[in-house]
Amino acid sequence: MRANTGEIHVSGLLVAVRPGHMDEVTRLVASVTGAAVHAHDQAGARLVLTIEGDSVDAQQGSCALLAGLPGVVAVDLVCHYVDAEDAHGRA
Amino acid sequence: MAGHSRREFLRASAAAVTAAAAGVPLPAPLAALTQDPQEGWRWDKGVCRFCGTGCGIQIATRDNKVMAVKGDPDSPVNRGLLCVKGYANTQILYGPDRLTRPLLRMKDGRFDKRGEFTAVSWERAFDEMARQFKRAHKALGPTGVAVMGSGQYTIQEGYAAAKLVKAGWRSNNLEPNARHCMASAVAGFMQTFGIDEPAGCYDDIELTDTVVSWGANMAEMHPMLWARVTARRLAAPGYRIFHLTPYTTPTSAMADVEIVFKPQTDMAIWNYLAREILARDAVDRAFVDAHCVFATGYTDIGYGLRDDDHGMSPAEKDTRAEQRAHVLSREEATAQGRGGEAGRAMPQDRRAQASDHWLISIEEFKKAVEPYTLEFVAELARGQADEPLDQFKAKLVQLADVYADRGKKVVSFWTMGFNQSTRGTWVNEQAYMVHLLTGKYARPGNSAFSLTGQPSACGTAREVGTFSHRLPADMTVESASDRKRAEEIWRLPPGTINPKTGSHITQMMRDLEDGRIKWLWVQVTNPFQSTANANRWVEAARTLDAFIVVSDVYPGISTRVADLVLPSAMIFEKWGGYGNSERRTQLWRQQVQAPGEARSDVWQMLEFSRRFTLAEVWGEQRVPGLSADGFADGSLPDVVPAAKSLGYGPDTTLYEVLFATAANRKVAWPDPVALGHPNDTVRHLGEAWFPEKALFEEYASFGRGHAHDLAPFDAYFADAVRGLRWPVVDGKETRWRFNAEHDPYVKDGGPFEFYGPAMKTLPSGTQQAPASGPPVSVAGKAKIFFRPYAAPPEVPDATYDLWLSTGRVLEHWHSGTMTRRVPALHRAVPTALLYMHPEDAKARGLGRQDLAWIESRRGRIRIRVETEGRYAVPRGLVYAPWFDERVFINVVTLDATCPISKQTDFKKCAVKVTRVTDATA
Repeated sequence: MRANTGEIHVSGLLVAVRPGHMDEVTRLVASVTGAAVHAHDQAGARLVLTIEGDSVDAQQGSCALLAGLPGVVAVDLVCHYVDAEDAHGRA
Repeated sequence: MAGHSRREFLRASAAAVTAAAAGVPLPAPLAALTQDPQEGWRWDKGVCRFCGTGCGIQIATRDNKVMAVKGDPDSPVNRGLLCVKGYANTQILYGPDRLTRPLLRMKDGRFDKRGEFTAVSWERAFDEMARQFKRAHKALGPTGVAVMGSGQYTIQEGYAAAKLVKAGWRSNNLEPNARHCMASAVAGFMQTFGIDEPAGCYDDIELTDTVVSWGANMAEMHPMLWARVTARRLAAPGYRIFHLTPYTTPTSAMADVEIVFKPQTDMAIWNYLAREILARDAVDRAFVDAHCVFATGYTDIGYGLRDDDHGMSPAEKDTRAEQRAHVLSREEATAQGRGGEAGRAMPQDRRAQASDHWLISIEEFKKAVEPYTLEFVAELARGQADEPLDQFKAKLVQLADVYADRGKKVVSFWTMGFNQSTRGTWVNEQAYMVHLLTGKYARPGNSAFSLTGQPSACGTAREVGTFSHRLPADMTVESASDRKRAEEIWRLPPGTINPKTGSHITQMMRDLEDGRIKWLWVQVTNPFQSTANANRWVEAARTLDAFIVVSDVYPGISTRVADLVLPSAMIFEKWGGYGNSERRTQLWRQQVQAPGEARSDVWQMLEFSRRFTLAEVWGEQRVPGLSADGFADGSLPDVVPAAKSLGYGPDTTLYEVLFATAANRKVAWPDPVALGHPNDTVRHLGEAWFPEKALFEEYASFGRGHAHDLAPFDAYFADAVRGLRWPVVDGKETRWRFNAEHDPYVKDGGPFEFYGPAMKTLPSGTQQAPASGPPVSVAGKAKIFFRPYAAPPEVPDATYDLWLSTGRVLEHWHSGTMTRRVPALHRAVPTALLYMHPEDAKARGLGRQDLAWIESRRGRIRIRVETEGRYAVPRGLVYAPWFDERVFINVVTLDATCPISKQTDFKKCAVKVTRVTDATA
């Protein structure tokens, strides 16, 4: 999945979902590379997810995919972290 | 988090921070992680670099590099969220082709306009720049030099520029790109309220029942405000969204009612609403009687084109002729109460009195809006020929229902769709007309709100006043009392400030073409890409003997046009401050160092000012056309002798007189507010004073006590503060101006007072003309203007048969110099496309992705056709964004401006589109 940039990019995103589409969106998000669903609100309107990759470029590609999913009203960025891999090259 | 990898830790932290921002309950193991991954990261608050929304962000740095950015959860603007451009705040700093050295065109070791760009020292760059300035200044006087600035200037940059140009060089040739962006909004505010900027604020989004977006594609251009609107729409029963637009945009997707109108007919729709409000007896009489007057102005004011025929091509002849006489269409004749005059050429002989206006009676006002019946307006305004007229009418009635319903609160939003128009000032005034008639203004949840495009169009361009007619805090150079006040604060001899308004930004380009400006410094903007009818200005800059300096961060069309390129520091590489659309001022600290020899614009101006002595710029100066009380015609007085009493000699430099004053030197660096953050402006000046703080405080002294009160510099850095909305009085910000419950400047008991002082003594008259009686004071009141529908100067005809509208897309900022360096943004929207109706494309033998010529009377370019995608345009109209320098759409656009605001209409000109064939390629 990662090219050898030596960087980790992780973003926290909030996805606004059209009422009644939470299950469908949750399922579809799983198919987007680097995306992981963590939680959603009780009203079924917002989904917390992270995407990760070795560059902002890769992340924004995933962002664009998410924004195009049926049932998605908006994809908002909450945070974006960049860091180096740890000393063992693990990530 | 022992046992977890770094990646897992970051992922868990990101999820926790995101959930916390959204108020979403967390799975227990995540709840412990709401702290960010700190390890040597230094967090600080800042503000987004891009649009006028003013989203709060948090930035983390380590080892002089930005490591993280997040939406500031404590920001009341964006509440922890950011749009896709939020990422770019960090990425734009690190593009591979950042400008890092001054570059001078040279041949054989000397400056040569035909030479190649050669890296030089700052010393060498400034030597040449000063030599060229003095050559132009000696030949032409203060009007021969000019500075083009920006609504992306920090507050301090704009203030330094205003002081250097107006007080130092005694020129008023300082203009921001905001002239293209917000000037009509400013003129609308000044004429209606006598003071600039909105009464309300973003809080109105949650407090209202109805949002009406007039020509504003908020989903792409102000995404975080749109996120608040849509969140409210999903949560609040009965909350409704109307979107009026010339073509379907992503904003249409969440709209309950979309009204597609023909370009410029929004003006007719406003008058239909006013007519309905009167007819339905929906006027808030108590509000109108106590706080408003009715007014109007001249109709035949031209279109801001050149008055002469300089450089005119045969194809331009008919459009240029409009400036002198305009043939009234049947609809215009009806709309202007000139029913019998359709087809007549109306001389545009009120060009010089475009902003004059006078009081009319409510009876005159009623008579003026009477022609705007539902039938007339629906026929005129329907934007999709295939939409059934009854359906279009029904939507207009629904819109009227909302504005006329006393029980409904309404917020109207607009931005470039109104402002970029040859009648941009009028249509701004029309929005206030309807909101004032119904009393839906300056009250929580009721607002007519002008959105700004740039991050500090308000904070800098407007509030500091970096326009050719302005001084800080809404003051003007033409007012003797305003000049006197500025001269006192700036400690200048009387008569130093030039009383003649300078050239507006499009006029500066025309001056360049005419040889009237021979030295130009461009800062934080890309005017050779962003000015309409661009071929002419690029050619003038490259072929005539003007010296063009461009300070920028990346190469673009303007740097290529330049003779000298100066590398600038950007956003978090310097201290700065922005002011957003809702009067919120936000300041930030320098976070990292700029690359190479890039330096802050404040440093550039201060350092350059060291190269001017008073003897060089404060002697008698020639100013063609100057005529003002207390001045000899055509000249500024020698003020060097008078400067002696202020302690200055002929050899004192502008740096000492304007910037490193005794007072400013007391503002010491280092300063505890810095918390250890660097200041490279100070370092490179080799000084021990704090320019960004000193300039801010000096600037703030203009507005304090004058309804523009800013808080002390340090207050904006307090932990709990996320910007403050001015006027800030006794430490409290103001959410609704002119409203006694919220605004301490309302003195006369209220409940409302429109206390703006400008243009408040007026004659009276009829719809057509002022009468000769004495002017009366309308102090404390707002004006309800009648402004008629008027057609643009260039409309589609048999040869140029399509409307062209231009604008932005979500992914790119302005001319793309920053966002096109962010690979993902570039890849998402790699090139500008021409959005066309499939049938219009088919009729021209074009399909998706085909290469077409788009041609106007002024020029032509090649562009790929798109018939699907995010915009659905009606037949007869095409849309192209302007971010892409390789698809240089401003070669095609028309440099017509609103005669009052001088803002260009980038939304309307006539073009033809043809297939690129082997023979025409």
